[in-house]
Amino acid sequence: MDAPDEIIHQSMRLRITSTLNALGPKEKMEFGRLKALLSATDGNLATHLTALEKAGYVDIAKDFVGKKPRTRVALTPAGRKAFARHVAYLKALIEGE
Amino acid sequence: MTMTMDRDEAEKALAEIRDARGRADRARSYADASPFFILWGLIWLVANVVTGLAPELSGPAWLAGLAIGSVATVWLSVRQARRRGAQALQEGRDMGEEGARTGMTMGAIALFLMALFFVVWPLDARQMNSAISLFWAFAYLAAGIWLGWRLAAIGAATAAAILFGYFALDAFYFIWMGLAAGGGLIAGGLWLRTI
Repeated sequence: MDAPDEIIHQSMRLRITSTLNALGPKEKMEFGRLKALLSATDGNLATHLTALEKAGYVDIAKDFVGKKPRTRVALTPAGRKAFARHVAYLKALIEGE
Repeated sequence: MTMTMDRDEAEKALAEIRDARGRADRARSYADASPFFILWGLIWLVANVVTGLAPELSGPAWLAGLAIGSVATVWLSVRQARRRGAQALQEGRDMGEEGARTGMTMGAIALFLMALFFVVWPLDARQMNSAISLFWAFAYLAAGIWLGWRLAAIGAATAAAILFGYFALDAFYFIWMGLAAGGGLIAGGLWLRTI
């Protein structure tokens, strides 16, 4: 790979994908928990998640628990591959390949 | 136009990735530890309060509590190990050795406690209760030093409550152990779930 992933490269999106990549293959993270882990605001996080969703890197699931709305997020397989490629690019750059 | 990065930017990005991963792993450690705190807090609460209020039921209460706690602990551990195994597979890591070492460590701890009690026997009920409770409280404190300050805080607060109960309370020792040590573990478990 000779270029960084232009979607993941942005700082907040890099932190979002890093955090979601730590989840198991079938796990999702609640929006509020992700927001707390990243110290992000609702608007900022939503904007970047939308960009990642448009790229096919995250899956955003909305449902209800009782009467309370719930939003959960997970990396898609394409998102995991893109993140792994981006990390490989960064490491290769540092190692001077 | 193709985006490019220099070496400094790449190092900064990798540092951000490590930081985000560290936060996620710490939150995962808290979430994984939480049900164990709540489970054993409930058992400590019920068994100690029963011992304090109806000493004749102490034996059955502790036996039932330890049996339920042991089965539930194994069930929770297996469930969490399966999830970690699936994740490790995805990341290309081998969890077999890690699982075996974890099992052997728990076995070593159990043997240590048995050997220790064999050496210092006889112990009365308060000494036995305090010794086991203190062992786990300091284990949480030590684990917290590596995994996150919340675990360490729960361990330190529980240890302080146990020592206070042992040295300052006599007649109400078991009630105190139930409410302070057991209740403290439950509150700690719920606190760990908040992030």
